[in-house]
This record gives sequence, C-alpha cells and structure tokens, in this order.
Amino acid sequence: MVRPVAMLAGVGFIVALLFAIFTTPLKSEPNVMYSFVKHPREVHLASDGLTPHWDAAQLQRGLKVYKKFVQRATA
Amino acid sequence: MSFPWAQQYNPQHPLMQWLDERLPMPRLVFNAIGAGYPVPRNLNYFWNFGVLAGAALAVQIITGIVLAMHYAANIGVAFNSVEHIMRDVNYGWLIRYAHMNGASMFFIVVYMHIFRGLYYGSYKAPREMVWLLGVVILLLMMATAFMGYVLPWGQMSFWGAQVITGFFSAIPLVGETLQQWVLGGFVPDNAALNRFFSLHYLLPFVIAGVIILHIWALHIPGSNNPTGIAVKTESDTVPFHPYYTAKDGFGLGIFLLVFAGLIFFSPNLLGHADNYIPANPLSTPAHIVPEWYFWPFYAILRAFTFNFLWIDAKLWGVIAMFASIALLFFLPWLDKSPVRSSTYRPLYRIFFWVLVADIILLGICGKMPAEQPWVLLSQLGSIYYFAHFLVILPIVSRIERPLPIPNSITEAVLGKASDRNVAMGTSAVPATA
Repeated sequence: MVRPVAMLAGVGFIVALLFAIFTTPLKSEPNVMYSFVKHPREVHLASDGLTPHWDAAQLQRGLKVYKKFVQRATA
Repeated sequence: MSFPWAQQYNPQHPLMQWLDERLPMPRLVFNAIGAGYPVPRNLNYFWNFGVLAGAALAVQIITGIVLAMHYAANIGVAFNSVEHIMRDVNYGWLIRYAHMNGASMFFIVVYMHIFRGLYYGSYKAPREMVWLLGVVILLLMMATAFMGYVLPWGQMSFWGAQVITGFFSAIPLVGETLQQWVLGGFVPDNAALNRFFSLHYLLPFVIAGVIILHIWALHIPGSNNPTGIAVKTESDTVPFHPYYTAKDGFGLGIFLLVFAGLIFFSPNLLGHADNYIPANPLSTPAHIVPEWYFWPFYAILRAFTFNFLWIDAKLWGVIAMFASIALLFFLPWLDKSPVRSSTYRPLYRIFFWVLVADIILLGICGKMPAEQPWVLLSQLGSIYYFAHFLVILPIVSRIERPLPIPNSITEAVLGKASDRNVAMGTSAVPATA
C-alpha cells in the first residue's frame, strides 16, 4: 500500500516540476541583486540625460527615512 | 537483545559491586558501548559518524550553555551581546566560533551517517525504528539550527526568519494566523527572538533524549555492517571495547583536527557575511540564503515556479520541501530488496551515486540566486530527488538481480577458508580480553 501511494505522490511532484520547467523562461529578468551592485555609472536613472525628471515624492520619502533612521544611527 | 556470547559485567572492586547492586550504571555502559556489546567485526570508518554526531552534540550543548550565560535575547541588545561575547568575554570568540562551526560539523557528520545508512541499507528490517528515530533527530536538528541562526539578530537572522516563517502563510485558510502565532507578531520581533532562544535551548536536550532511544533501538537487533549480512556466530563479532572504542577514538581525532582547522583558520568560511550587519527590517538583503546545510531543501522549495492544479507555486514548494524530508520516514517500506548492502546491489549502487551528485547539485542551486540556469537545474535536481525515492527505488528493489552474497561476515572478511576453521573448532575470533 505504501509503495503505490508513494509512487503516485512522486509522479505528482514530477509532473508539477515538469510544468514548472516548461513555463519558466530560460532567460532571467535582470533582478534587484544585479541592479544594486551595478557601478553608479552603469545605472540608468530617470534623472540622467538631456530631459531628466525627478520623482519628488520619492525623494521626500527617502529624505524622511534618512533623517529618521540613518542620520540617527550614524550620529 | 544481546548475543549469547556477549561478555558479562563482573565487577571486581567492592565499590563497583556496591554501585552495581544499587544503581547499575557501569553495567549499562558496559553493555551499551563496552566489552558487553558484540559488534560485527567488519565495520569500516563510515561507522564512526554516529559517535562523531554524539560528540558534536556534546560540543554544541557545552558551548551553548556558556554562550547563554552572556547572550541577551532582546532585539535591542542581541547583536551587541554577541559582539560582547566575541570581544570582551574570556575566550568568548573561541566558544562562539566553536558553537557556530560546531553546527556545521554536526550536520556534516549526520549527513555522512545518513548516506552510510542509505548505502548499506541500514534502514531495512529489523532496524526500521533506528532509522525512524534518526529522521526525527534530523528534523529536530534542523529546527534547532534554524532557531539558533536567528539569535545573533543579524540581517540573515532576521530575513531568514521572515522567509522560513513565511512558509506557514502558504497554508490555505489558517496560514497567516499560524505564522503570526509562531512569531508572536506580524514580523520577527522581540517575541519571536525570545521564543526561538527558549526553544533553541530546549531542543538539544530533546535531541539527546531521542538519541538515547536511537541507540536503544539499535541495540535490539545490533549494528548493521558493510555486507548487510546478519550476525550468525561468535566469530562474526568482536567486543565494542576495545576494538571500536579505539577506531572511534581515531575518527574523533580526525574530526577534531578538521573542526580546529575551521575554528582557528577559517571560522567564517561556512557563515554569511551579511549576518555581521545588525538586523534591519527596512533593508532587505539582495540575496537571502540559509545556512549551507539547508541549501538542497531551499533549492527544492524554489524549484516550483508554476501554479499547478488548484495549488499555487509557493504552497507546492513548501509541501515539496517538507515532503523531501518526510519521505525518509517511508524509506524502509519503499525499498523491499532482501539484500541490504549496495556492495551486492549493482543497479541500486549506480542510482545511489546519482543521488549523491543530485543532492550536491541541489546544494549548489540553493546557494545561488533564483535565476537561470539555477532554477532549471534545481527543477531537474528536484525531479530526480523525488523520482529516486518514490519511483526508482521501489522499482529497482523489484527488478534488480543482486550479486552472490557471502554465507557469513567471517567469510566476507577472511574468505571461504575461515568457515572451515570455525567448523573445525579453530575460532577466527581475535584474542580478546
């Protein structure tokens, strides 16, 4: 009894994994890890170029976090 | 059960006689790991790893008790208390590095112990209970190691706890409630740190208790051996002491050399640099990765990237990760081959070595970021892992034609002439005390 149930479970895992293999793109999207470790010169920011723009709200949030945590921690 | 030819404990000293009549502890030791325990004469060095695992647990308990004298389980001071141990406590660096690397050494010897059991069929009848208790010990070790890694309250401690406890949230309906109950909050915080510390202190003693049961269950049928053949006569065995106490002593020496090498020359080799950064809930590390001994299971967790049937990918991953360990409970009933040792199972032996390579591959995939080609490799590795235990093993045990097996352990060791000597009354047993 154990072996047929185990085989059925094994086939279930294998089928699920085969579906996963055929639905996962072989080329990875560039992920956060590599974006963060890029040299600043290689990072393309919205503020670059001839017509840069700034996300004012995002900058405000960044400043708030800096003042609240980073500045206090490094003081 | 003990073999009828086992030596009997016969204390000569009056003090030992007095003790034996009141609390026969020396008798227990004599029969468990002394001259009163007959053991197959052909055990190789792979049989050292059980004793080494016991030694590693002892190191962990002793160093852990000392660390607990100086550690403070509060998120405000936990990280600094570990630094205090490293810098201010006398030999604190040594105790902490011994504890840190001791966990890795414990897992190394336990994994070797498990692979030895898989290769030589030590999980088969009549030793199923020994195997089942061993799997319980492995699960307890994993829980203990996970909670111990949270205690320094570094970045990997915090985010590792966040990821692992996040598994509970994959359970339908009750998942989130369960996760909050385990953590004592919405995220790992002081409540989680306190309960993890409490359980991390408790579980090693539970492990010690289960080890006693493991050894007790082992002593009922006696130790397996590289041939897998049952002990038949006295000539198949030697007393545990001095033969295997000496052999284990040698193994222990090698173990301590490797352990000392890690502690004194490369104490952070198996750790993660991010855990020297204090936990910061506002900064997620780019790559969250558990300790090396969890990498194969972490790879299995991440291999499921597709919502299949009515179960989403995350829940598939969690189920598969737990199943990858839980299936070991059913191993004695999945492999029905009458032959234990792979020495006489040519087909199974090939699949065993493929499994070893597969687990190493899964380990590498678990360490790497979740991107191609590692995702594909972890998916292929997971397929083989489940196929090996749940499909291949039951089929192989049915269709395989094993090689001829020697009539006895003595014959396997000394050749056919040995059995003739035994029949003629010339014992092949080495002279013993």
